[in-house]
Amino acid sequence: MVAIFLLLFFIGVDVGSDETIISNLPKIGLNALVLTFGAVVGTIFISVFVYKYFFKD
Amino acid sequence: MKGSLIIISFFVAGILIAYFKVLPQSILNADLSTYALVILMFLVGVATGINPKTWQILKKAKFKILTVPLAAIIGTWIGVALISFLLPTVSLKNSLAVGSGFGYYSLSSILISKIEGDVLGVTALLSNIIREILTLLFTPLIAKYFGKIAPITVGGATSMDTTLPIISKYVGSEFAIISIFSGTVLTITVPIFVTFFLSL
Repeated sequence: MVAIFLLLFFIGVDVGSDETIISNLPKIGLNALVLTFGAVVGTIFISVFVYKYFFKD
Repeated sequence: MKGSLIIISFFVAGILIAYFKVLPQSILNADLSTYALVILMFLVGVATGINPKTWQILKKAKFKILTVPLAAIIGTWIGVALISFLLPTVSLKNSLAVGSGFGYYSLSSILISKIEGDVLGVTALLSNIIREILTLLFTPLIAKYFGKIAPITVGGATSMDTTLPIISKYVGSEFAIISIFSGTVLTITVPIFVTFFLSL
Protein backbone atom coordinates (compact mmCIF):
# COMPACT_ATOMS: atom_id res chain seq x y z
CA MET A 1 0.00 0.00 0.00
CA VAL A 2 2.88 2.40 0.72
CA ALA A 3 4.02 1.95 -2.89
CA ILE A 4 0.52 2.91 -4.14
CA PHE A 5 0.58 6.09 -1.99
CA LEU A 6 3.98 7.01 -3.44
CA LEU A 7 2.82 6.40 -7.02
CA LEU A 8 -0.24 8.65 -6.57
CA PHE A 9 1.90 11.34 -4.95
CA PHE A 10 4.32 11.33 -7.89
CA ILE A 11 1.50 11.33 -10.48
CA GLY A 12 0.19 14.40 -8.62
CA VAL A 13 3.62 15.99 -8.90
CA ASP A 14 3.61 15.34 -12.68
CA VAL A 15 0.14 16.90 -13.08
CA GLY A 16 0.87 19.88 -10.82
CA SER A 17 4.05 20.79 -12.70
CA ASP A 18 2.30 20.73 -16.11
CA GLU A 19 1.10 24.30 -16.85
CA THR A 20 -1.19 23.16 -19.70
CA ILE A 21 -3.22 20.88 -17.47
CA ILE A 22 -3.55 23.40 -14.64
CA SER A 23 -4.61 26.37 -16.80
CA ASN A 24 -7.15 24.37 -18.86
CA LEU A 25 -8.61 22.46 -15.94
CA PRO A 26 -11.84 24.46 -15.40
CA LYS A 27 -12.48 25.09 -19.12
CA ILE A 28 -12.38 21.55 -20.46
CA GLY A 29 -12.62 19.64 -17.21
CA LEU A 30 -16.39 19.33 -17.16
CA ASN A 31 -16.59 17.76 -20.64
CA ALA A 32 -13.84 15.32 -19.68
CA LEU A 33 -15.51 14.44 -16.39
CA VAL A 34 -18.92 13.79 -17.96
CA LEU A 35 -17.42 11.69 -20.77
CA THR A 36 -15.46 9.61 -18.27
CA PHE A 37 -18.58 9.12 -16.18
CA GLY A 38 -20.34 7.68 -19.26
CA ALA A 39 -17.40 5.43 -20.08
CA VAL A 40 -17.19 4.09 -16.52
CA VAL A 41 -20.93 3.47 -16.12
CA GLY A 42 -21.17 1.78 -19.55
CA THR A 43 -18.17 -0.40 -18.77
CA ILE A 44 -19.52 -1.43 -15.37
CA PHE A 45 -22.89 -2.28 -16.94
CA ILE A 46 -21.39 -4.67 -19.53
CA SER A 47 -18.89 -6.10 -17.04
CA VAL A 48 -21.59 -7.17 -14.59
CA PHE A 49 -22.95 -9.50 -17.31
CA VAL A 50 -19.51 -10.74 -18.37
CA TYR A 51 -18.67 -11.58 -14.77
CA LYS A 52 -22.02 -13.27 -14.19
CA TYR A 53 -21.92 -15.47 -17.32
CA PHE A 54 -18.21 -16.22 -17.76
CA PHE A 55 -16.34 -15.92 -14.48
CA LYS A 56 -18.61 -16.49 -11.50
CA ASP A 57 -18.22 -20.01 -10.08
CA MET B 1 -13.42 4.21 1.45
CA LYS B 2 -10.87 5.23 4.05
CA GLY B 3 -8.14 3.75 1.84
CA SER B 4 -9.38 5.79 -1.12
CA LEU B 5 -9.36 9.02 0.91
CA ILE B 6 -5.78 8.43 1.98
CA ILE B 7 -4.83 7.74 -1.64
CA ILE B 8 -6.46 10.93 -2.99
CA SER B 9 -4.82 13.00 -0.26
CA PHE B 10 -1.40 11.79 -1.44
CA PHE B 11 -2.38 12.71 -5.01
CA VAL B 12 -3.57 16.20 -4.03
CA ALA B 13 -0.45 16.71 -1.91
CA GLY B 14 1.64 15.87 -4.98
CA ILE B 15 -0.25 18.41 -7.12
CA LEU B 16 0.02 21.19 -4.53
CA ILE B 17 3.70 20.61 -3.82
CA ALA B 18 4.52 20.69 -7.54
CA TYR B 19 2.22 23.66 -8.25
CA PHE B 20 3.65 25.84 -5.49
CA LYS B 21 7.18 24.78 -6.48
CA VAL B 22 8.11 23.45 -3.06
CA LEU B 23 10.31 20.78 -4.62
CA PRO B 24 13.52 21.66 -6.50
CA GLN B 25 13.38 21.29 -10.31
CA SER B 26 15.89 18.41 -10.27
CA ILE B 27 13.40 16.22 -8.38
CA LEU B 28 10.57 17.13 -10.79
CA ASN B 29 12.75 16.14 -13.73
CA ALA B 30 13.76 12.81 -12.18
CA ASP B 31 10.52 11.05 -13.28
CA LEU B 32 10.05 9.49 -9.84
CA SER B 33 6.56 8.17 -10.69
CA THR B 34 8.20 5.79 -13.17
CA TYR B 35 10.50 4.38 -10.48
CA ALA B 36 7.60 3.98 -8.04
CA LEU B 37 5.67 2.15 -10.78
CA VAL B 38 8.60 -0.19 -11.51
CA ILE B 39 8.78 -1.17 -7.82
CA LEU B 40 5.00 -1.73 -7.75
CA MET B 41 5.12 -3.89 -10.87
CA PHE B 42 7.79 -6.07 -9.31
CA LEU B 43 5.75 -6.55 -6.11
CA VAL B 44 2.60 -7.45 -8.08
CA GLY B 45 4.60 -9.84 -10.29
CA VAL B 46 5.91 -11.70 -7.25
CA ALA B 47 2.40 -11.96 -5.74
CA THR B 48 0.92 -13.18 -9.04
CA GLY B 49 3.60 -15.80 -9.66
CA ILE B 50 3.40 -17.14 -6.09
CA ASN B 51 -0.39 -17.66 -6.27
CA PRO B 52 -1.13 -21.16 -7.70
CA LYS B 53 -4.65 -20.00 -8.65
CA THR B 54 -3.08 -17.69 -11.24
CA TRP B 55 -2.15 -20.59 -13.51
CA GLN B 56 -5.41 -22.47 -12.91
CA ILE B 57 -7.54 -19.49 -13.91
CA LEU B 58 -5.45 -18.87 -17.03
CA LYS B 59 -5.95 -22.50 -18.14
CA LYS B 60 -9.69 -22.42 -17.46
CA ALA B 61 -10.20 -18.95 -18.93
CA LYS B 62 -8.86 -19.50 -22.47
CA PHE B 63 -11.26 -17.85 -24.93
CA LYS B 64 -13.50 -16.28 -22.35
CA ILE B 65 -10.56 -14.15 -21.21
CA LEU B 66 -11.13 -12.13 -24.40
CA THR B 67 -14.58 -11.10 -23.16
CA VAL B 68 -12.88 -8.85 -20.57
CA PRO B 69 -11.20 -6.33 -22.92
CA LEU B 70 -14.29 -6.62 -25.18
CA ALA B 71 -16.52 -5.57 -22.26
CA ALA B 72 -14.25 -2.56 -21.67
CA ILE B 73 -14.36 -1.53 -25.34
CA ILE B 74 -18.11 -1.96 -25.90
CA GLY B 75 -19.10 -0.54 -22.51
CA THR B 76 -16.89 2.53 -23.02
CA TRP B 77 -18.22 3.19 -26.52
CA ILE B 78 -21.88 2.89 -25.49
CA GLY B 79 -21.28 5.16 -22.48
CA VAL B 80 -19.41 7.96 -24.26
CA ALA B 81 -21.76 7.80 -27.28
CA LEU B 82 -24.79 8.42 -25.05
CA ILE B 83 -22.97 11.23 -23.20
CA SER B 84 -21.93 12.93 -26.47
CA PHE B 85 -25.59 13.72 -27.22
CA LEU B 86 -25.61 15.83 -24.03
CA LEU B 87 -22.46 17.76 -24.98
CA PRO B 88 -22.96 20.44 -27.66
CA THR B 89 -19.21 21.05 -28.12
CA VAL B 90 -18.03 17.43 -28.46
CA SER B 91 -19.17 15.43 -31.51
CA LEU B 92 -19.97 11.71 -31.48
CA LYS B 93 -16.79 10.70 -33.30
CA ASN B 94 -14.65 12.93 -31.07
CA SER B 95 -16.27 11.46 -27.95
CA LEU B 96 -15.55 7.93 -29.21
CA ALA B 97 -11.91 8.93 -29.87
CA VAL B 98 -11.54 10.32 -26.32
CA GLY B 99 -13.17 7.19 -24.86
CA SER B 100 -10.89 4.94 -26.90
CA GLY B 101 -7.94 6.20 -24.85
CA PHE B 102 -9.14 3.66 -22.23
CA GLY B 103 -7.16 5.52 -19.55
CA TYR B 104 -3.91 5.59 -21.58
CA TYR B 105 -3.76 9.38 -21.35
CA SER B 106 -0.22 10.06 -22.54
CA LEU B 107 -0.56 8.31 -25.91
CA SER B 108 -4.22 9.15 -26.62
CA SER B 109 -3.85 12.86 -25.80
CA ILE B 110 -0.74 13.22 -27.99
CA LEU B 111 -2.42 11.44 -30.92
CA ILE B 112 -5.63 13.47 -30.58
CA SER B 113 -3.75 16.79 -30.20
CA LYS B 114 -1.81 16.09 -33.40
CA ILE B 115 -4.82 14.96 -35.46
CA GLU B 116 -7.73 17.00 -34.08
CA GLY B 117 -6.16 19.88 -32.12
CA ASP B 118 -5.23 20.87 -28.58
CA VAL B 119 -8.72 21.38 -27.16
CA LEU B 120 -9.77 17.78 -27.78
CA GLY B 121 -6.25 16.66 -26.86
CA VAL B 122 -6.53 18.21 -23.39
CA THR B 123 -10.06 16.79 -23.06
CA ALA B 124 -8.60 13.34 -23.77
CA LEU B 125 -5.76 13.97 -21.33
CA LEU B 126 -8.10 14.97 -18.49
CA SER B 127 -10.75 12.34 -19.27
CA ASN B 128 -8.24 9.51 -19.28
CA ILE B 129 -6.42 10.78 -16.17
CA ILE B 130 -9.82 10.92 -14.46
CA ARG B 131 -10.50 7.33 -15.57
CA GLU B 132 -7.26 6.21 -13.94
CA ILE B 133 -7.97 8.20 -10.76
CA LEU B 134 -11.57 6.89 -10.52
CA THR B 135 -10.22 3.35 -10.84
CA LEU B 136 -7.69 3.95 -8.06
CA LEU B 137 -10.35 5.55 -5.84
CA PHE B 138 -13.38 3.35 -6.45
CA THR B 139 -11.95 -0.12 -7.14
CA PRO B 140 -12.85 -1.26 -3.58
CA LEU B 141 -16.51 -0.19 -4.07
CA ILE B 142 -16.77 -1.41 -7.69
CA ALA B 143 -15.37 -4.83 -6.77
CA LYS B 144 -17.81 -5.10 -3.86
CA TYR B 145 -20.98 -4.20 -5.77
CA PHE B 146 -20.31 -5.10 -9.43
CA GLY B 147 -18.07 -8.18 -9.32
CA LYS B 148 -14.44 -8.91 -10.08
CA ILE B 149 -14.38 -8.00 -13.77
CA ALA B 150 -15.70 -4.42 -13.48
CA PRO B 151 -12.61 -2.96 -11.71
CA ILE B 152 -10.41 -4.46 -14.46
CA THR B 153 -12.50 -3.05 -17.33
CA VAL B 154 -12.99 0.35 -15.67
CA GLY B 155 -9.19 0.47 -15.34
CA GLY B 156 -8.98 -0.03 -19.12
CA ALA B 157 -5.45 0.09 -20.49
CA THR B 158 -4.14 1.05 -17.04
CA SER B 159 -5.16 -2.33 -15.57
CA MET B 160 -1.79 -3.74 -16.72
CA ASP B 161 0.34 -1.22 -14.82
CA THR B 162 -0.69 1.81 -12.73
CA THR B 163 -4.00 0.46 -11.41
CA LEU B 164 -2.89 -3.19 -11.29
CA PRO B 165 -1.75 -3.09 -7.64
CA ILE B 166 -5.09 -1.81 -6.30
CA ILE B 167 -7.12 -4.04 -8.66
CA SER B 168 -5.26 -7.20 -7.68
CA LYS B 169 -5.66 -6.27 -4.03
CA TYR B 170 -9.46 -6.17 -4.31
CA VAL B 171 -10.28 -8.84 -6.94
CA GLY B 172 -7.62 -11.31 -5.81
CA SER B 173 -4.23 -11.99 -7.35
CA GLU B 174 -5.69 -14.89 -9.41
CA PHE B 175 -7.51 -12.21 -11.45
CA ALA B 176 -4.34 -10.12 -11.76
CA ILE B 177 -3.26 -12.10 -14.84
CA ILE B 178 -6.61 -11.31 -16.51
CA SER B 179 -6.09 -7.67 -15.55
CA ILE B 180 -2.66 -7.65 -17.22
CA PHE B 181 -4.06 -9.42 -20.30
CA SER B 182 -7.01 -7.01 -20.66
CA GLY B 183 -4.83 -3.93 -20.09
CA THR B 184 -2.32 -5.16 -22.67
CA VAL B 185 -4.98 -5.80 -25.34
CA LEU B 186 -6.54 -2.36 -24.70
CA THR B 187 -3.15 -0.62 -24.82
CA ILE B 188 -2.54 -2.09 -28.28
CA THR B 189 -5.99 -0.98 -29.51
CA VAL B 190 -5.62 2.67 -28.38
CA PRO B 191 -3.73 4.03 -31.43
CA ILE B 192 -5.90 1.94 -33.79
CA PHE B 193 -9.32 3.05 -32.49
CA VAL B 194 -8.32 6.67 -31.77
CA THR B 195 -7.08 7.27 -35.31
CA PHE B 196 -10.02 5.33 -36.76
CA PHE B 197 -12.68 7.46 -35.05
CA LEU B 198 -10.91 10.73 -35.88
CA SER B 199 -10.68 9.74 -39.55
CA LEU B 200 -14.47 9.33 -39.85
